[in-house]
Amino acid sequence: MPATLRLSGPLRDFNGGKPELQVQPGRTIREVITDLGIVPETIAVVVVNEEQQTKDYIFQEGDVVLVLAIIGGG
Amino acid sequence: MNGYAGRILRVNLTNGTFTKEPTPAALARDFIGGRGFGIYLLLKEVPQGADPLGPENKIFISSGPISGMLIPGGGKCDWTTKAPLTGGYASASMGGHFTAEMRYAGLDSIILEGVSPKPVTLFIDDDKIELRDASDLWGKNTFMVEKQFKDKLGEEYQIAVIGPGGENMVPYACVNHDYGRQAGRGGVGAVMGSKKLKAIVLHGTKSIPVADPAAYRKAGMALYKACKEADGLKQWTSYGTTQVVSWCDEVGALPTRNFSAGSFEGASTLSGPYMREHIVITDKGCFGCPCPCGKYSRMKKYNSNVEGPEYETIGLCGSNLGIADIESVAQANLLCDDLGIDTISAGNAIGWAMECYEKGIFTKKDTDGLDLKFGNVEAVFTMIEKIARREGLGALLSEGVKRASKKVGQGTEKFAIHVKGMEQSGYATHNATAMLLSYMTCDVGAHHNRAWAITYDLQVGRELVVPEKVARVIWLQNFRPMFDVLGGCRLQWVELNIDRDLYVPALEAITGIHRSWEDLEMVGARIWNLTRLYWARENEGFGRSWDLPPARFYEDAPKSGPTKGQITKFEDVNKLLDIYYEQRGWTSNGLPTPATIESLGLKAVFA
Repeated sequence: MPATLRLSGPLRDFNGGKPELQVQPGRTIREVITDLGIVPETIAVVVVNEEQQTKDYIFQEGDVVLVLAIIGGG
Repeated sequence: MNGYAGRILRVNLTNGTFTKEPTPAALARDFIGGRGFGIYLLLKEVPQGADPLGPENKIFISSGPISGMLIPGGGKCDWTTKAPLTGGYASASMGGHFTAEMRYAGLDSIILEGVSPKPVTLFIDDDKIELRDASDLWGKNTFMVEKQFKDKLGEEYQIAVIGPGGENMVPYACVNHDYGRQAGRGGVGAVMGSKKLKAIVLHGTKSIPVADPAAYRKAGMALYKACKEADGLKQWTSYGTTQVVSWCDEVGALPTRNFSAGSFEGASTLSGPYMREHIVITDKGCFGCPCPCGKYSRMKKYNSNVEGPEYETIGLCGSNLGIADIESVAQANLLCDDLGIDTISAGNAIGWAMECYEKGIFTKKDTDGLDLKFGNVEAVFTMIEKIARREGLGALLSEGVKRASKKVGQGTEKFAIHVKGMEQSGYATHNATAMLLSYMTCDVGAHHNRAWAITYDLQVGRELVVPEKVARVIWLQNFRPMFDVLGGCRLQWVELNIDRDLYVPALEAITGIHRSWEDLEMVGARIWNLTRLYWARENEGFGRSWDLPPARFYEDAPKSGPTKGQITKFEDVNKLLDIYYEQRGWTSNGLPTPATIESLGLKAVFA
């Protein structure tokens, strides 16, 4: 069962404008977003199944992972 | 005039008179509101060379067409004045509920001019307007005064008040409102203090005419829906601006020990999740906000409460001072707010003094006996009090790091972290060229709010100096401050990533005038150029040299952290300015050319 990666706002530009993609378990969030062309350093927050995690979290089956871009700051 | 209360209140504090003037339709058309009104009125009404703390300076408090409306974040007002901190343009944006109440009292703007012979409070209750004796309030801290008014008059009255910092005309004194919101930067509170105006008390019951009520309701609801459905809502509401503390530490942007580094060993206990778990007791939002970012905290150690700290205060009064205890940072926040001084400038100034002390430039003779080492919490608390009261070393630090370092000399200018005299806010910019340029060219001094470009640096390459980066900074400078013109909060767009085009039908329904973002950005560019012209008018020799960043960012690389060994080359600093000036249509000395002034239709304004 794949996991779901959900991209916020402007990050969707790295996924053809779509908010979600399916991800096979076993890879880190860092690896997956890098493949999309997102520089991991630009991601301030990663939420896995409603809990904050690091970008080195490894996708598990059925996970819902949200990555939030900070595009504008305070 | 749809979308406007229709009146500007002029308060002459010298002779105690009030006049209400119609809000000029041409002003609304060309500058919309907020800081657009502010810069226009500043240029027209405050004479060249006016002393920022003298009777000729004025304060212009302005709402915008979405202020007080059912639009997410419609609780912002702009405070424009000639800045005592920098001698240039000051525009401070204040949240809370003040601006909504001001509009309900029938006022788009309030102009404060002259100097009262004695301390007064400006009291406005719809059409009842009075100056009341405030001699008994003079000398009191902000929270006590606000509570006193609220207790006496009721919660619906909105209060803006200065503390001892403003009364003593500390050049970075702020105006406090709603127990935790400020018109924070540039010294608006000092100007209010110079006018002997302790507080403004507001209440109103009027309404704002709207062009198309049905469309207004529909467009407003669409904005609220977008906020409520945003992916980042839960995260943002849980942590507010503190959600970036760990990220800034990770990328080397967290100001640490007077910006000597961008990563702090104690960052984990300053992070948003840590703060939420340990000291936050509830959330607090501004008028009409569906995503409250304010965090109200309880500091058990000090038996006190405060709204905050936000990211900027954690950066400047925490890591920048070598403090990792979140309760102590919150307490420093409380002291600054209560005394009425800006946490950013205060934290920056104390950081500079700590570096002077650790380098042996200051001894205990200079510090009034304080062991002013990084991390000394009690010394920080004492210095905040001394700054607000301008006592001992506090008197020097109250001047801001530009003036203080000039007085002290001995190379301390090199680690005075400011641009144009305004202390840099919470992002270390050793190797983040777009963010560095943002600070260098910001129209109030080194503040982040106009163009927050650091993620763009990270995405395209932090050391790159290319036209695309400069264009990004210029776009942000034209676009983001438009929220301060409209009278709203930008954070719904910034943090929840809602579609900015949702604001267009809302603005049209309110005012009856269609404006695309392209039109709005053009207004933003006109305002940006006017602020530049104002700086040049008020400061002989103003130009490129004023845009240079602190030497630390091109000479003094961090010795640890992700940016260890990294700086921006000075030749790249100049290259950034060359490209920026060219793209802005300015001279090589950084001044708008006659052709640029003409093309933006500013010739008549800046006559």
